[in-house]
Amino acid sequence: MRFDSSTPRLLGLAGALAALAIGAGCDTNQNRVFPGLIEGVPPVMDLGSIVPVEVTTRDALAESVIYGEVGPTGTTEDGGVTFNFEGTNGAVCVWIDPETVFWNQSVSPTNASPYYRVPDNPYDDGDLDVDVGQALYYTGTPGESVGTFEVRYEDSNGNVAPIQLSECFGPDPLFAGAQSIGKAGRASPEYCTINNTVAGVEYTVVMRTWSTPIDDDRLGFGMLLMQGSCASLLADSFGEGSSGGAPGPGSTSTMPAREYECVITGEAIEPGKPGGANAAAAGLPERTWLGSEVPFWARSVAFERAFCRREADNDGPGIIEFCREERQTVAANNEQCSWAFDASDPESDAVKCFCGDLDDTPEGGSF
Amino acid sequence: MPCLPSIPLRRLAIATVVAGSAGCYDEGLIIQDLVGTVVIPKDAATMDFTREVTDDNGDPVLDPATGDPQEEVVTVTDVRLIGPVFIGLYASVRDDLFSYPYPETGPVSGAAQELGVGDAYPYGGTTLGDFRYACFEFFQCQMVSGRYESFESIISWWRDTVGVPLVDASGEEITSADAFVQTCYQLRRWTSEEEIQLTPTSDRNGDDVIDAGDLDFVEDGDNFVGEFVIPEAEFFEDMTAWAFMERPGPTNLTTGPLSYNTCNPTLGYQEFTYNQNWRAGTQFQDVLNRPAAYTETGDYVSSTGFTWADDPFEPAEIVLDFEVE
Repeated sequence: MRFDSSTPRLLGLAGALAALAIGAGCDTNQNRVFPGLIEGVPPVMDLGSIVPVEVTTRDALAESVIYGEVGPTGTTEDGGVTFNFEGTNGAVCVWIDPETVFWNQSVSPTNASPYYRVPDNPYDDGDLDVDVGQALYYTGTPGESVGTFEVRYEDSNGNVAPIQLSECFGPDPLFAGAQSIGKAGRASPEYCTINNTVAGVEYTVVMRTWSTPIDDDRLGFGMLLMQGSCASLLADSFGEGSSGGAPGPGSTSTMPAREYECVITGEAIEPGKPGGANAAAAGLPERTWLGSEVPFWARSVAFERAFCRREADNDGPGIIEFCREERQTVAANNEQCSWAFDASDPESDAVKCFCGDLDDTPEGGSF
Repeated sequence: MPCLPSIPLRRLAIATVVAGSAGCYDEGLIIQDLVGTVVIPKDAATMDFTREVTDDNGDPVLDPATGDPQEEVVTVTDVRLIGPVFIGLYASVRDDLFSYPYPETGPVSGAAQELGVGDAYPYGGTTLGDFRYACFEFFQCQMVSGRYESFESIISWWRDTVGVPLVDASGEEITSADAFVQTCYQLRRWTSEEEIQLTPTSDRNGDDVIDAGDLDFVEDGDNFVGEFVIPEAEFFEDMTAWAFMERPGPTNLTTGPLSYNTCNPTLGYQEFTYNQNWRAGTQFQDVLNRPAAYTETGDYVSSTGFTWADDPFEPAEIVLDFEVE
């Protein structure tokens, strides 16, 4: 290398650039990589105080479901939904179902699950994680921020241990398809049974937004708060597509996990619709609906029911048939599916498709 | 080495010392091997056993009125009746939580409410005697280490005192120490009694004899006394060592006549050989967190524990002087 009179200036410039680069690297604000706020869709929602309902029939269940819609916070902070209820001196069940249905496509060359051979549309699914605890221990601010039930316990010697006072714990009395500990995964129902609620004690339920759908970042959900154990939901064949024989409390179910999707249906909410009148009359906030007034996406309930249906049932098409019909309809109308696009966008000419692309999917053993 | 700059050795030495001392950060932790003894009254190692009365020929003596074999109750005091002793380090011991002295606990909420007892949040702990794999399913959750002087004493204890002879996987009675040991060697490919870890194999008390004096507990007047070490424990001033002993009893009939609540028969080493598929059993993982979930009538606890003021080198003495009723 040859040095001349400009070398010190060049070196200084390089040093300054390096310092700037390092300085920029210290900027840990990663908000830019998170989805932004959506106007009219709250990132944090509080439903207020709700009374656990008594559910004895499928119709009563459907009319008791509270639907809502939340969006991203626009920052690294968590968002979600909260509400309170008062203990009943007995068991209380919280059952939630985030939008919409998700499955991994089966591409195994041997023993492929015929039921899951078709692909899902992964762009329209979100995830909520449920947790319940005594309101006294909740660290969030309803309607403003989402918290946990983790508190600092200080013993008599002054030593501090962080402890978790969640009431969602214990083995899953049903099946792994819906988990009681709030980690069931994308679009899957989750539930929590609080076995011995104390009368007069306030409990807080938090549904933390783990992810919003990629296509429009509007996460619809359905929520049921009912008296008794969640195990009783399926014991009474409330899961549509079930042909009975569901487990009682404490037993292990062999029922296909997909049937849990149909305890609550209709949580895929069409954007832009006004809040429900019945929900408003019940004192629920904006962007909520009660029971059958929910404006679900056309065919979304049929999609959920097809997913839940057993192959042996003759009351409608299963998921393979649903996806084939959807593909044929789109092709016949010369339309485009909404994969990765916001089907609610007025400028989009894509139509809402719940299944993946049947024309671009691997055969069994392709990998 | 022309590439190295010329640095005077004295400056290099000073720089090294400065850099080294900068790395000496005092975390304020006191990590210490805590030592002490556990004192168990002989009453805690005493049980009544019912036996058939036999004559000089070993034949049962019949009741003249009923014709049934006569029975007698024999009271036995023996180190083999000392169950596992769980020693925990806690913030304090309180008298107002249960009907017996018990470590202070955290809030009874969430999982604690479901279990009915709060977490005591121990700082650490150990055991004197723990559940061991003993080569026979017969011993599942019934074999506590440090209690048996020899393999002969295991066989005779179960046959003559407990009244339930040791049998193998085929139901055949094991009558000799050689058969016992060979079974262990065959199943685990062990080659020495040290590996079996059921009987003392070192001269613990230094009297040049390996015998009952080398067990976890030895007789001392009206008590049995055992020494313990809690290695590398974090020391907090005013913390208390508290202990309890689970006594085998008729209410603990989970797997056998002398089994224990603190043992989980679904865990521990799994023997899966030919016609055998069973687990040895081991302690539940939260015994020190929630002792009350496991203690029952007849177990012994320490009423005060031992509290260290400020000297971690002070040997502790924990007396199990309170029988749970």
